[in-house]
Amino acid sequence: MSSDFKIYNATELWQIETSLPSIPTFSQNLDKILGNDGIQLGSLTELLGLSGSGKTQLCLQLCASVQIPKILGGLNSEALYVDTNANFTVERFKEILFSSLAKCQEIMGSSILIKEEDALKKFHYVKAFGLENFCAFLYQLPNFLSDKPHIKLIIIDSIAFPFKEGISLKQRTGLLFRLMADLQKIALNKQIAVVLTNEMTTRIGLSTGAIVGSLGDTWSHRCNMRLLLTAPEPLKNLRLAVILKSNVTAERVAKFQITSDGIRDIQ
Amino acid sequence: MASIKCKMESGIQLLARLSKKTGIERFYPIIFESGPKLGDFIEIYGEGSTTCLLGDLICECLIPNDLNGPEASIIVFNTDGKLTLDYLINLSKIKLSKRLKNSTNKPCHDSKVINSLLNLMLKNLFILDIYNTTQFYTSIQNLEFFLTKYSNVSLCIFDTLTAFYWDEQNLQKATKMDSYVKKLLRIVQKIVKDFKITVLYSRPEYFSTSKESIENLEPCYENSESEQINYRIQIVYNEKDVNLVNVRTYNKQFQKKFHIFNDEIVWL
Amino acid sequence: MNALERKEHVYLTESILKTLKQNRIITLFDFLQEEAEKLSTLTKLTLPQVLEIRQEIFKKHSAHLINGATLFINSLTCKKYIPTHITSLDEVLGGGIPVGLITEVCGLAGCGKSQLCMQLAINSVKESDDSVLYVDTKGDFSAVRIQKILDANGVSYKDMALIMLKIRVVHIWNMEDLITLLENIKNGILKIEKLSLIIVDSLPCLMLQHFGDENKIGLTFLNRVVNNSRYISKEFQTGFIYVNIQTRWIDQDVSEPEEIESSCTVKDITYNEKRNRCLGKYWQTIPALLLVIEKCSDYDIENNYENCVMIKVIVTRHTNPLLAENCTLKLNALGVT
Repeated sequence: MSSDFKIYNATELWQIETSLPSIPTFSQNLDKILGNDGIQLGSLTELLGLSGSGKTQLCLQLCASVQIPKILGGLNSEALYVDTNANFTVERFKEILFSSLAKCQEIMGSSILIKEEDALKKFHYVKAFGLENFCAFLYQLPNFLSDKPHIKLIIIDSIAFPFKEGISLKQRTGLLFRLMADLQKIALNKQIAVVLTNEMTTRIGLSTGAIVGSLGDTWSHRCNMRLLLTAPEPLKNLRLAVILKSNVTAERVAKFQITSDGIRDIQ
Repeated sequence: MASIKCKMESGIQLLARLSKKTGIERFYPIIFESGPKLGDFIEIYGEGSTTCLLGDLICECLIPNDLNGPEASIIVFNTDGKLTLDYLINLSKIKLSKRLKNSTNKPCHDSKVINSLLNLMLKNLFILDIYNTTQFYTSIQNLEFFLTKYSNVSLCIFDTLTAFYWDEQNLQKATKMDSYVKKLLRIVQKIVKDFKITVLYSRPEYFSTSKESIENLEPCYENSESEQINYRIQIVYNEKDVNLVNVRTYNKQFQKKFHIFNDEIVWL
Repeated sequence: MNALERKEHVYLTESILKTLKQNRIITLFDFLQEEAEKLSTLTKLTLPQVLEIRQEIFKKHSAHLINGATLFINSLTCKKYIPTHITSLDEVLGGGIPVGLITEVCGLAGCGKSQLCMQLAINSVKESDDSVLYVDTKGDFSAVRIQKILDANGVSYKDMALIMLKIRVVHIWNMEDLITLLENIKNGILKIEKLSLIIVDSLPCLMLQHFGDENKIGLTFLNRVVNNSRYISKEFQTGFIYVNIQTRWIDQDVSEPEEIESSCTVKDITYNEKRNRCLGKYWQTIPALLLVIEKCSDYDIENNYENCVMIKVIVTRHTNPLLAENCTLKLNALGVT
């Protein structure tokens, strides 16, 4: 019989929670509503939004932000990007990564030089199209991570896409909750931030409005932080982020914009 | 060896025959009319909780002779845990003060009288708190000993009979819910047949293999032989505030309406 | 059901157990059910020896018959409730979270279930020596939030530390681990001093992992969790809260317009939102007390400067499932009040 359950008291947890650093979004407004100056390590965050609302853009920005050198208070770490819906383009990532690093370089001066090719090596891209590939990859994720101990951010873009077909609703729920339990265990033990994107779907007649996150009501309980991104004015860069669920902050709204350089505050 | 067996069993039978047992006939005429007889099996089921009726039956059954009650002894297999002693005590107190008021024609506020009567009632109540499958079956087998020791027990209650069903299922084979109930009843029947007692058990309404409602599946019987039920009582809670029990016996079927007021069932 | 093993009695040697097994007497129950004479013949034990084994098994495994009057006297000194110290909630609950029973807290995502649970954790230890165990199955527990609530209420750092030391948290990721955890508490392998309340937030996160399984192993696990929870809450005199979730489904009702209005024959299609407690039929009958939480009036996304949410708690008891009482609580920086 195993009796090695780690029982914390709230003081110990408080020390852990307050000592865990966050990955900045490059928008102070957004960092502020997230409550921890960005996406905190060890947390599980769900990004919701219609297509074009900036989910992938924010993910790419985070992959760049995780590289900020220690000297600037950054994590100097690596990111894992699990692509399930082919939304990823390497050109766009380079654009965001290099302009983010340029900004760092600007502040640091020429004392330390960041090489672009080194920066790209700190980004691990995995293509996991289809349910089988996706599950197979997550299954061997612990091994993958022990080979690459500097990974501090895992992006899954998107979590819903692999489950679009080929699986019954019930089995989908079972599988999703098992995968999430394993993923969250890793995230907490290894202090890695996990960000998932999710699409929106229409359900007519709900009291809370017709457009809700896909994967159903049970799923909406799973993540501790749920952030809804919207583009209130089509064709403009303005984006709104709304905290739908959080244990740390009360619900609030932030404005930000998507520029060619990545996520930024509105000037 | 055979002679010992013969002696042992006839001993129990003799004891059972000689023991003067308080009958519980006519104790709850709204449902049982002139019954239930010793040896009867009663089933209570419902989509919601069966506690309100079970609690009412237990308290009525315990009411002392002085207040025209059966003053019977009861054993409860408590496998569900929601029928609490506090609930029974509260309900008993309400019933006692009502009966006292009726018999003396003036309200009784004497808590001493009520408490001594309550104590008398509780002395006739025996509870088995059961928390796992092994304990459940072992205690059922031990019932023979309990009934011999407390020979005046006339009602044995299982609340609920099916609490450990899922615990017992394994990956290879699952017992059908109906067969499971039958199997348990056969075991109980085998043990209690030499003792003159009534058996009452609850089961959730969903606990049935077939989609058909329970009452359509098996008829009730006049004389209980193995796994045959003498009364089937369904509790239906209605949103519009008038709750129902549907009672079925081998030759009858009727409906009674009730409210719940301060935990007590008020028949309409 | 336990198998018949050597440890049950010294008379039960390997060879006797083997003989019994060949005769399909495998579990304790098989042994108890069999006639003593037959067992004696099979095992070559004397009849008194067989009866001795039977007695030993009963002594070890059967529940004890306890008289109501004895129970009554014992119960006089027992606490019945864990006060929530939220006045309006305690009033509706008739004193607090019941001891010895299972309570369910249920609601839609983000309605404030975890917030209420964290508040209950704080309040149950705040003015006593008791401690609380928070079983976290999805990383929802936030010590930072606890500290912020205490800070906002003007609690001194010293008291804050004392309170937070009494809130114990464990992460559990699957049903098997939850069962082991509860068994460890039950068997005294895991000792938590002055444990007065256990909160499992949330159960569906573990149970839903078995959704869509070919077998019903999830329900078997759930039955064991329920058994152990009942034992712990009763024997250790604790409150036991399970957090459950609600899902929504839509019913399309075609409603007839009132006759008085006019003679027009247009039928309105209205959508009825129905809510459903998760975890299935077996679980529905388990909790003695049900707290359904609803977020009151939807907040205005862009103009919610107050940062205050009202939540409604609807309480029903299993003894009278149609009688619902409710109270409205405030959720803000000060916590749930």
